[in-house]
Amino acid sequence: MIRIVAIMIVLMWWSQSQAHAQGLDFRGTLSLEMALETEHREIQKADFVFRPELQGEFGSIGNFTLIGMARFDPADALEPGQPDASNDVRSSMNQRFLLGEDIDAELREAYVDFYWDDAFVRIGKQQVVWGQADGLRVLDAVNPLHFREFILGDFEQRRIPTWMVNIEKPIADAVLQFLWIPDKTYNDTPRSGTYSFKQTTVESNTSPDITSVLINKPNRFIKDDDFGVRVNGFYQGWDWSLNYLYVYDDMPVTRQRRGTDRQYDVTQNYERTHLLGGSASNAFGKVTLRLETGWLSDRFVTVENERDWIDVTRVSEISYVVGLDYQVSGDLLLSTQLFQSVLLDTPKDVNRDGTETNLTLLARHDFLNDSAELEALLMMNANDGDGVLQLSFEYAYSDHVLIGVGADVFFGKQEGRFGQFDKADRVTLMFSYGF
Amino acid sequence: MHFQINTPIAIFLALACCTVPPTTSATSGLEVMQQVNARDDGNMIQRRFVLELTNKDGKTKTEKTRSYRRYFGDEKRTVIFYEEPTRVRGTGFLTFDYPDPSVDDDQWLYLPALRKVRRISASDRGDYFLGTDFTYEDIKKEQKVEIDDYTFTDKGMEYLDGRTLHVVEGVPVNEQIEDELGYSRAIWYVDPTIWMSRKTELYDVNGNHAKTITIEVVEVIDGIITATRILATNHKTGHSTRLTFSDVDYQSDVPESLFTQARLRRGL
Repeated sequence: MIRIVAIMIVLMWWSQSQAHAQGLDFRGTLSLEMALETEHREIQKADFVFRPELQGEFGSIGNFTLIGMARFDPADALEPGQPDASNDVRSSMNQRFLLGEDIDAELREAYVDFYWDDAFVRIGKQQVVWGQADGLRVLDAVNPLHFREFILGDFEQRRIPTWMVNIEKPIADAVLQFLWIPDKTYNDTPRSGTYSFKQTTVESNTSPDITSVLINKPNRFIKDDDFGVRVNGFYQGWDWSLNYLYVYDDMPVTRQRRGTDRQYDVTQNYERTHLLGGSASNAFGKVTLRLETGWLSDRFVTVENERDWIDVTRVSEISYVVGLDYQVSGDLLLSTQLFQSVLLDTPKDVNRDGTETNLTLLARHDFLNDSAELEALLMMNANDGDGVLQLSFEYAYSDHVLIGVGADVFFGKQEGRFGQFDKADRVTLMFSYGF
Repeated sequence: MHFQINTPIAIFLALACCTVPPTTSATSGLEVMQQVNARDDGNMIQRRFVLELTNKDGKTKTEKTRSYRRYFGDEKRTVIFYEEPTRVRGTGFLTFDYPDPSVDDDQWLYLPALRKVRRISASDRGDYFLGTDFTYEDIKKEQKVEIDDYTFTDKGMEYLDGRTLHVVEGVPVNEQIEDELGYSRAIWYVDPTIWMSRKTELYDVNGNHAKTITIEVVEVIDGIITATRILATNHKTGHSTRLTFSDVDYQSDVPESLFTQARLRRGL
């Protein structure tokens, strides 16, 4: 292992000098990210991750960016074995490369940037982030997610970049953004592993008696593509945006019907929805107010019945986040968020509360001239009384080396979104070398 | 074209470029500081700057940035893009600084890890700027001083490092300003040939010697006298920050579109 790491560092240095000689900018990070599950004292992950990034210009026309990721995880507990590709949640142009059970790699981002008159155009595989909320998604729904570590880990790494055309055009004092996303990639949820979902609310649920699963995935060009429009601006101290997405929900809707001989037929369909919303933020002295809301036209929720069917019904949903950041001093930030999602016209026997409430509390303290950062983040579901407490400490040992330790502590009842992982608390260790 | 101010030619140019003549020792402290504030700092500027942050053990971290500043009428907008090291690369900081001191600045921070432009509250002027030993006020004022913040006293002339300098003491006009700035007293050693404080001694609200800011190199760039190397030493922590400017350009156009959230997110 030490030999491999040494070879990689030499290769990084060589690549960087070669790229520089070609007028390119080559950089990246090599990191070790470990997690130890405290309950069973087992190594949950031992990720050796290489994230290279290459940037360059093509004449005066524009520039390009390539970002890759290669990961070796000998612990193999988050996605045990070779992750099942048969669920086909990723499009053919957005596949991970799997080498054995422990190694995966992917082209994370690959795009070109140029200006067309005064419009900025970015074409390629990319992440687009909307909204003002942290760790809670209302408008941040452009890219699907990878749930390898449930909700743990940075959103930047959890988002699955998709191929799209992204155009931003200034109009008066605002910016109009248009997205065309032909990449039919959806949420990637491991079928087994430490953080595989157990709840019907988030799981692509199956039953032991199921004999066949039919997944209907959109595949028509243009007709099944996703589209988005955003207008954002700044007016009298307020940052504002209006957002619209016409997309397939990234989580499939599961319908289960009893067949013959106690067998079940299951279908999973991706369903269209409209997401209409907006965001706003402003600062008042030491306090920053963040607001975000979205109306989802087609939300499918599970309905209980007496015949062991998993049935669903279509409702609409409105969600919002109110966030307050209080900058106590230059080094200390306190932040809280209230998130609520409300089902409109809640049907009878629906398998979730009509209103779901989540709360977050964050305290972050920088010290040693911002070389060190201590953070505590509490995320709670008020309906079930469960949650997760995340603690982390990071220290920039040098310009190139970042080290960190942390802990993720779940609590609450087993039926809860967070509480289901109560036995999967963990401590983490991180070492990162940037070049 | 750049000239070192400590060369005879540059001194001549500096004096020739400076429209404000040196004053006599009878000049009041307020007048000296008004001369400092009257110094031309250009309508727009683009430059690189390197931050060398050295802790009390002598260990140094280096951050490289590109920054742009432009006046929109009396409103000053500044944007800073971090380029090095890799862990902060892509970080961007945008400020709208309004002429009315009672109106808070609008500030945004782009963090690549979040992929979001975050609105941040206007920092206290005495808060330290992104881990450096300069406060937001130090960075924002660019070797100038908010006249309304202080009561100035002329402390006469002093001969320092081969130069005769005006010594001016400033005391915050009230406790609120003192708390905001984090200083109970400041002493400026103003060089009348360039109308900059060559050295500034700052005392915290308890009266302790908190910090010294020293201008190490001054150049005349595009006819404008410019401090290109500044050292801030924090006497309480032993930490210091050296700020070195390069590729300073007052003449090239700085597009208005640089001072937008979209550009902050996209980077340069």
